[in-house]
Amino acid sequence: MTKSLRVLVVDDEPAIARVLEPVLRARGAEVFLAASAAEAVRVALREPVDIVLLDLGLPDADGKDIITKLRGGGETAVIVISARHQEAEKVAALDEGADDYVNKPFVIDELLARIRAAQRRLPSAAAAASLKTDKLSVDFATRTVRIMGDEVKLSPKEYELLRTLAEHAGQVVTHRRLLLAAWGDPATDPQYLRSYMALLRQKLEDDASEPEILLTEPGVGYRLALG
Amino acid sequence: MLAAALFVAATAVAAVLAEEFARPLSSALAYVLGVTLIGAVGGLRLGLLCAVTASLIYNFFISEPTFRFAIASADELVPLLAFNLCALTSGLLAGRLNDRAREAEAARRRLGALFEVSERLQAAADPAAISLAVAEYADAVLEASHELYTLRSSHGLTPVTTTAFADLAAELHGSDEPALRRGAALALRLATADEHVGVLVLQSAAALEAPERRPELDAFVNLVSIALGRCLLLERVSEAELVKRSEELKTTLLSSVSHDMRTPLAAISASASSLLSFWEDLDPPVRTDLLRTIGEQGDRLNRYTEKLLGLARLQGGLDVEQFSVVDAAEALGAVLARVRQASPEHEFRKELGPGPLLVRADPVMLEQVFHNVLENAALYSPARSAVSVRAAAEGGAAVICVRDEGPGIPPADLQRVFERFTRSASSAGREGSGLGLSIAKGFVEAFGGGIVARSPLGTQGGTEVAISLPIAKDGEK
Repeated sequence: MTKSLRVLVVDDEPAIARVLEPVLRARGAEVFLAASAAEAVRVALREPVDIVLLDLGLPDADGKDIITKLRGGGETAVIVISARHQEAEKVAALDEGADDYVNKPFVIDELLARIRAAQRRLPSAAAAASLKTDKLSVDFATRTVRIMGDEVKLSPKEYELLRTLAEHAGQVVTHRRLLLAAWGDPATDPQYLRSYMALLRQKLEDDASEPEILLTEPGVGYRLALG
Repeated sequence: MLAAALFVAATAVAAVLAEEFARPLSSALAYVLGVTLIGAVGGLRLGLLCAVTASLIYNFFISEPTFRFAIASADELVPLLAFNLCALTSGLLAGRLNDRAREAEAARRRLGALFEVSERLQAAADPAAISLAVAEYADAVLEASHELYTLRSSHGLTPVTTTAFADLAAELHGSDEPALRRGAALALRLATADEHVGVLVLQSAAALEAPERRPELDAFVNLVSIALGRCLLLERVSEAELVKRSEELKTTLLSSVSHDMRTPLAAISASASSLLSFWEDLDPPVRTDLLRTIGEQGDRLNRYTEKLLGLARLQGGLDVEQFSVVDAAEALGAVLARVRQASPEHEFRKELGPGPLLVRADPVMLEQVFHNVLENAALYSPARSAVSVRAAAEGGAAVICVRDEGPGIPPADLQRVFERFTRSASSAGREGSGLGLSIAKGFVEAFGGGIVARSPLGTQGGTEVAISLPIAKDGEK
């Protein structure tokens, strides 16, 4: 690693910062801390960071409202840390430009996986020509999809959906963004999306009723599992 | 028509009698009979008309001199007078009778309408239903539009309908008068024996001001007052009931929190402090074990908090508008995958019908329903036993059945499994919070579905929990 990952943790709860700071540091990251929205924006301006872990419930402002400022020109990925049952909140944050979210409480492995997934999407990372996981491989240039080495034929819409999910592999992709990618209109009946995801699962999953690759994020969207 | 027919018949008979038998007296009598009958049936005006016509015809055709209008003798005058007097008398009598009948019919109709509105008012459960009943009556019988205001001691005067006459209602409320009139609007005080319950404003009900209709209006106002008073009383009673139940819930909740939160907290605290104090003295496997305990008990606390949150959401009321169309089969699959990981010692079998099971629900809450039911099945059945899950469309419903091979639930407890904080005696010492199934039931009912438990199943025991949710209609989002 030529340059260490720079992570800003925005949370007013000191206990969270106290755990995250040493763990992230141990993983080779440079860690900055902020306990309020104002401080977070100040730090982000002074120290361009790669990843922001943002708690939405901050004392001085709604975390959602500073996402645009924290993202800078898009060189920073924002991962929202949010409670379950706040799906509308998560979707709003994702629409504001957040890249992903983690449900609170989380286990550290999950958080690190989300950070790795976000890292892949940073402009500093070379645009991948393909995606390879344990079972699935997608070659973006030739539009070839293989599952356990066997090529799978997909319809154009199915491929568009899979490509969008694969480009954000490991990250949540909202219903809206998937509808936009495959149908060109975010107001398309979500029923179509559900049907096409079911078809994709039939073709890619061992057991389409208990998917391991194309996961549902209830009320938010879908996520392509990385491993 | 009948009168005309009678008149023609009488004329014909009279003419025949006069011509054929030269009996002018008989023909005159036939005319009298006809005119009387016409007066009786057709009323005063028609009777008189026929009488005058009869006089003319009699005079012209029958009495001497024939074919001329002239009276030859006083004898000839009598039939003419008789025609007209008979017609007058019978017409007046018939007319009065008719009027009486019409009045009686109208009164009967009004009474019927009053009776009908009283029945509807008795059935009305809230001010809006009362307003609906009033609207129908006011529209059909009083030919007036209305506004209804309720008076609650806590809120003051609140409108149920439109508020065009809010000022007038407030003015009446502030005065001691039973009614106030402004222009075509009449504000009436609604009061029961011991309190004022509201104001009714009737617009353009001028006809009701007539003294003979006053009792009807009074009766109507009285009926509305009683109905509204009853509704307001019911509101107060159910509020009091709600307060009482929420107090009971708080008490149970507190005892549950102190048990279900303290137990994992105690384990976490003991493990962490042991590690901190005796790190050097503890064997590495013990350290790992203590750390794992901290993680597991953390999960347990999290699950419990989720349930408390679910409870809070149910208490707060769920917004049906927030629901969307969800594939219940997909949600079930996601939950199954999670539960398989959490309970590796159980064998989960599934049997899914073809195609999606689209229902209108909140996606996260629906997963919680399935999670709670599956978790419960695993929690209360022995390790290495099977939990089978079946999901299929049956009629217009998505039916999801979860069946375990546990000891089953005694019939006495079966009724209560969906109540909060219920744990059967045999489950004492297990981890359950007694909230899972009650939350599942609350959510399922919010989605318009139902949930039942059956136990024991056949001779081998076991429990089946069946959830049924209405299939979303085409075009629903």
